[in-house]
Amino acid sequence: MDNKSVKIVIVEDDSTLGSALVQSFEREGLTARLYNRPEEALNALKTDKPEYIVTDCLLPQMTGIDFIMKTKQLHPDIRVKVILVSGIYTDKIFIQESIKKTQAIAFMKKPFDVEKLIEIIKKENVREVAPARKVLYQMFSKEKVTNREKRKLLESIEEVSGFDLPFIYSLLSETKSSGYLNIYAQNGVVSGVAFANGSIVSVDVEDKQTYLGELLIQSGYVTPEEVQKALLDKTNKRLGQRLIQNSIMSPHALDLMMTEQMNIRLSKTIVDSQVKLTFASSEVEETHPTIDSDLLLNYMHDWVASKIPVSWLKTLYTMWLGHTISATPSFSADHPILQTSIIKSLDGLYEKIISAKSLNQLLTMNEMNPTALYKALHLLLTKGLIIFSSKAHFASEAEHVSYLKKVSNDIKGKNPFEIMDYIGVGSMGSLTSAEILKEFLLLLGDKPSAGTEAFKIWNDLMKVFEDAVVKTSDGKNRKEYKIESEKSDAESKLKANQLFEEAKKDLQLNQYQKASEKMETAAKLTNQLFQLNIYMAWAKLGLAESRKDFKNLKDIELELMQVPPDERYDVLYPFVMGLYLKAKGDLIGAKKSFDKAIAIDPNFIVVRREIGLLDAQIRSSKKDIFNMDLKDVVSGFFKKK
Amino acid sequence: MSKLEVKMNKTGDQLNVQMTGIIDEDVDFTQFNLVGNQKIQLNLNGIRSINSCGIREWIKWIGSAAGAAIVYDQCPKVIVDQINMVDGFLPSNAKVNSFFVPYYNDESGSEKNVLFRYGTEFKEGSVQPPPDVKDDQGQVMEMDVIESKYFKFIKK
Repeated sequence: MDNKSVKIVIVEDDSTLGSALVQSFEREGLTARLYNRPEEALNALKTDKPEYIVTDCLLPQMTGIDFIMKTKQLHPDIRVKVILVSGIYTDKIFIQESIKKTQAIAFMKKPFDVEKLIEIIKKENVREVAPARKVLYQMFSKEKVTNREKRKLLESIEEVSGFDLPFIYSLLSETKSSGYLNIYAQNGVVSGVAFANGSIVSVDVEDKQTYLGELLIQSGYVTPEEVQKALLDKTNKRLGQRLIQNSIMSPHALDLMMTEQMNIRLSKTIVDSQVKLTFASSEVEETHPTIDSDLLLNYMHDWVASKIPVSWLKTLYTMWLGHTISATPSFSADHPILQTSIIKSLDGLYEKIISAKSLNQLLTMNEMNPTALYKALHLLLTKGLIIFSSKAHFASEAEHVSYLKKVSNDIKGKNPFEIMDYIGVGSMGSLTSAEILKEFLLLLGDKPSAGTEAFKIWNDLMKVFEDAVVKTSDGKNRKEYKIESEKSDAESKLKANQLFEEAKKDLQLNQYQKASEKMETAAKLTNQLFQLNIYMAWAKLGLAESRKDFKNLKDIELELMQVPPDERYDVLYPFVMGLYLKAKGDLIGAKKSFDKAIAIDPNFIVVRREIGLLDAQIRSSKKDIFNMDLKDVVSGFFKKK
Repeated sequence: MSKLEVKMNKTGDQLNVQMTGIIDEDVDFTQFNLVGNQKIQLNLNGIRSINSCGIREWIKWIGSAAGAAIVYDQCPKVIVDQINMVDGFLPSNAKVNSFFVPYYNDESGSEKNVLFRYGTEFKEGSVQPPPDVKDDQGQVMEMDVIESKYFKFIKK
């Protein structure tokens, strides 16, 4: 919590007590000023502009209550919160009346615990500030974001999820930042991304698999022996430069690989765990190659498609369900983002976004694949092309009712902790109960008029939420829930892994239906199954092939889009891509993919079988000269001669 | 080429190290030997930034002076952030003697770094900020950090 802006005026004629209060506040970083006489305080209010007044009830010249009333009369523009203190007037009726009259937020009987007073102010202060993570995702609604604002925002966020990082990378890129973003993982590992005028110039992740030499070997640019030889050269040059100097690779190929290295490293930071961040603005040299805003869009598409689970997105977007979506000025009908695979897979998304009033309306259109829709929206939000209104808005009572019913349905059967997770506050331990309730209020929209159907559902939901807040604030309950939930997660993962292994065996035996069902069940149990999307695509393609029904190719495309970059380096990806291209009728493309797969793993029997089948199919089909390998075309000409 | 300039000089049994520039992947700390010194005083006022590679190199380097009593002087915000965030950045044999706190004025946008010294503006477990920090125009400035985070190392 940021207390620095909190200014407190203390009106207390007992100088010893007053000075002690000032010191205590300042130790907490709160700015406080003491006045012994109310007249002095009244004169100084205009310049002090306090947010809080702590006043004794018994003062010289006038009572503390009169002082507050006079403050409100003389300075109606000052919005100030009042805390009354008294050692004399302590009877219940006086306290009640004085609170009512001055609208004080608290009354403290002398002697009181200063820590308690500080706690009241801190809690009040937090209530005024929207959760930092929400502010983060609204950053693009500002016309200009200064470096200071970016730094302050990142500082104010206690922790973010690794899945929030694409948004942060995009924000720093789009706002032309220069400086170093340091990422601190829970295990103590520090990673970093350097930005020069909005372009990413280097990515540092402690991961041997992404060393340049490793990547060059994996991609077939160089052999392990060539790397070893270059490393033995006695020169200060970096590996890439040594390889160029030895004429082993071209500068262009090195640039491509270094860009890919940054992509893979960035993608490795996007994980399901909490991280802390700092961003220090600094001059950073614009070295070569870089990832600029346009290239970053391609990578972000990949990350949003493949790294961020839809379950996480659903939780993130719950806070904006009833909020109006609007396009930012940078979003136009010819924006390159509309050509990306996710967005292209949703027909007419641009028009729907422009015409939809709220996120809920868009989600309930039922015409689009929900996974693709969430991912498309997230891509647009991450690129700063759409923003959400700060408050929920409903055009009619009927719309509000339908929305509240959806929320009721969503939380039906959930325990209090699951309800907290539903709006994404479950893991935000730093939020107070008041802040959490405020989030629920924002979710439900303004309280409907009494007597309406919306009013009844709204009230029922608020009761459920209040109950959840009370139950989850109990430390013991939370601990028990955590233990229970961890146990249940471990059991689910075990079951999911078992099903997944069975499904893989089914696939080898062409049992596509069985494999598909098992994988769907496994996916519901956990979202941490390595290469699940590739295997799912394989099963779906197998089913389509066996039924000769290729209507679902869009679904399969979506599965393939969700394959993370680091899962594309083994035999399975080119093999399944080959099956997909074959299903699309691109036999030459399919052949190339199968050849790539067999080059990676010559013992992968299923690929050999596919190559055999495909060769026969290609031989029997009429050759399309425009899609043939140049080598085949040329040799074909010679044969004719 | 390294963007960090390091000046070392020994006075009696104390090694004084003054650092200026950027600590990043290009830094080569092996040329600045700390081993064998009983007291080391690091003046970090000139450090402009430090990236993740620099943090790792720093931890290795400062860890090589395990037997010495180390003092960090005039730490800029980029260094204080690392002290708060990264275990080992301020090892157990080191302490902060002074550090800068950014101040800001909302109306004029003026910024200023104020030096907090051990025994004056802070001591173990507590901070006593200066009563009034003003910019060149005499406007009162506010602390521009989140105190609970920025002063965490003092309260450890």
